[in-house]
Amino acid sequence: MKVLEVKGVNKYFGSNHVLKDVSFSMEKGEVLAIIGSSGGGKTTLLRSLTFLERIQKGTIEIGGESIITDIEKEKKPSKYIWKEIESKKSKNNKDDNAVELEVDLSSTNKKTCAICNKLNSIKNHKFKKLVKIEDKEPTTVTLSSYPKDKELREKRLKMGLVFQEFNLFPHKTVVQNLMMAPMLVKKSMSDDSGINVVKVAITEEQAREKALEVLEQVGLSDKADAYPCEISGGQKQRVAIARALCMNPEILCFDEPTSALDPELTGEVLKVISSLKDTGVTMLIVTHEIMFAREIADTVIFLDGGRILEMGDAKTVIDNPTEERTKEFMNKILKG
Amino acid sequence: MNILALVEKLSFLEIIGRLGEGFLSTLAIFGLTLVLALPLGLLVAFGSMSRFKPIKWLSRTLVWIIRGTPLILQIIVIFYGPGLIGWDTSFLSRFGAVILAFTINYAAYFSEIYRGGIESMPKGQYEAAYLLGMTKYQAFTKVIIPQVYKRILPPMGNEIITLVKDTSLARVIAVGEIIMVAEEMSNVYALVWPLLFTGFFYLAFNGMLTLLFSYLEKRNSRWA
Ligand SMILES: Nc1ncnc2c1ncn2[C@@H]1O[C@H](COP(=O)(O)OP(=O)(O)OP(=O)(O)O)[C@@H](O)[C@H]1O
Ligand SMILES: [Mg+2]
Repeated sequence: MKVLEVKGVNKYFGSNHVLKDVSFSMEKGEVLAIIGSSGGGKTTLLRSLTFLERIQKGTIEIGGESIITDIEKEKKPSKYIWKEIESKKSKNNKDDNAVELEVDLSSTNKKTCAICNKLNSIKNHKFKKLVKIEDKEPTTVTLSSYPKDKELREKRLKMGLVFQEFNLFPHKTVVQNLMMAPMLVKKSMSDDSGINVVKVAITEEQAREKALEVLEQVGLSDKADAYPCEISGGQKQRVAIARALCMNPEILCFDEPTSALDPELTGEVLKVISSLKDTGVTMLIVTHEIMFAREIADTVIFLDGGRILEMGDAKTVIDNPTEERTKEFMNKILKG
Repeated sequence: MNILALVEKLSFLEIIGRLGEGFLSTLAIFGLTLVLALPLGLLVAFGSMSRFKPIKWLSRTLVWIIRGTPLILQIIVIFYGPGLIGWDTSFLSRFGAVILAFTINYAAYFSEIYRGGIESMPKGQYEAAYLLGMTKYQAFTKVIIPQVYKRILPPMGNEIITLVKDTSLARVIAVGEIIMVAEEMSNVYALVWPLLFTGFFYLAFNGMLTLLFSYLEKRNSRWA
């Protein structure tokens, strides 16, 4: 069963095209590793899948539910034609006074702004009116079919994300870190009769029970009442994993879970991730630990310059890459 | 008992009584300013951080003016200003003017402390909360505010102790706070102790505040 389906995802930061038609899918229980050189868009991809970043185009389906479908905007940068308007009739003729402007349309509400800035930069205000948008490759302009905050929040619950820098809540103990969201966030579930769907947050006892169970799973039962500042980096990352697990996500994502750790602490975190694989957790892991990816992942994606250059069975891609860029990358990494 | 001793005794009681009034008035200025300026400051802080430009610039300009001019001038302007340009100000008592000036002034200072605290919170804390499904409101009240609270306690303590001492500026429009009363008593009876008494009063008051703040800071000292 497909739990994640990503189709033609495009993401821009300003005019920087960071994700280019990224498509892939994940089966339930699959472990997918994403590797690639720095700046390739790995973090941006994870942030887009968890809706921390907005994509500009593409489809994301989680658990068979389409969440974002083809938000199309103009191709960027678009060419806007400004013309000097003398008489209303000349409007239809393409005259020599037309000026082509490259306008950066990174976000819709910046559109007017970008145009105004361009206008101001034209010293003598001959060009007063936007006559026509000329786009070399015309695309439909569907403005913001992006889901609202509330909807995104619900969909987001299907995804868990473990950050590189943990982001634990420092003012809460380990067990409180785990219990906080489950007690606050209402989740849809069927009621006692099993027919109606009700929205409830779980009680404190239920949250604690679950938290202690998950802490045991990551081997930190004895640290339940410690504050994050009182435990090591490796333990912090295990708490972060446990915190994500407490929300029962369909897919657990990791963004370089070991890069902020001292080398001697990476082992304990990788071990926890491996143990999750054995319990059937679907995982999407961005990592620089190639050998770990080779071992744990079913599939590997090599992301470079915002594009998926290579995708396939983990051992095949890592041992025998076909693309030049992938080979180069592997050589560099493996040589250290 | 001779007459002289009786007069002395009466004057002592009067001085104590008057000092007591001054003390109450000082306390009232302090308490009311705190109660009004703490929430108002938060509002101004949100204004200064607003994404809506006019609100943002309004708040920041207000803060700039208030922090850029002496409080004593603000008290005078608020009390006499409206009358000078022909408004009816009979509704505004001297005490009311003092409270208004102090509240605006301290709200501006508090707002900058709040803003500094809120802006110092890393983005990752919000994102972690959102990813766990929290609403913006939940993330702000359960994750951000408790951490901001800890961060701003020391500067808040500082500012509040300054407020205790600033209450003495109320005398500029003849509101009888404790120093004004003490000075009057010292002049009338040719005594020094009423003035010394006010000194001890400030020391004791600020001593208690210092203890209170170190207690509040200690309560959250286990986590960093
Ligand atoms: N918030 C942002 N605003 C503007 N540009 C951004 C932002 N975040 C990332 N970028 C740009 O997007 C591109 C991809 O960055 P990203 O962080 O996704 O790469 P990465 O593959 O995770 O790299 P690394 O391995 O170093 O973590 C980079 O060119 C980066 O400059
Ligand atoms: Mg990254």
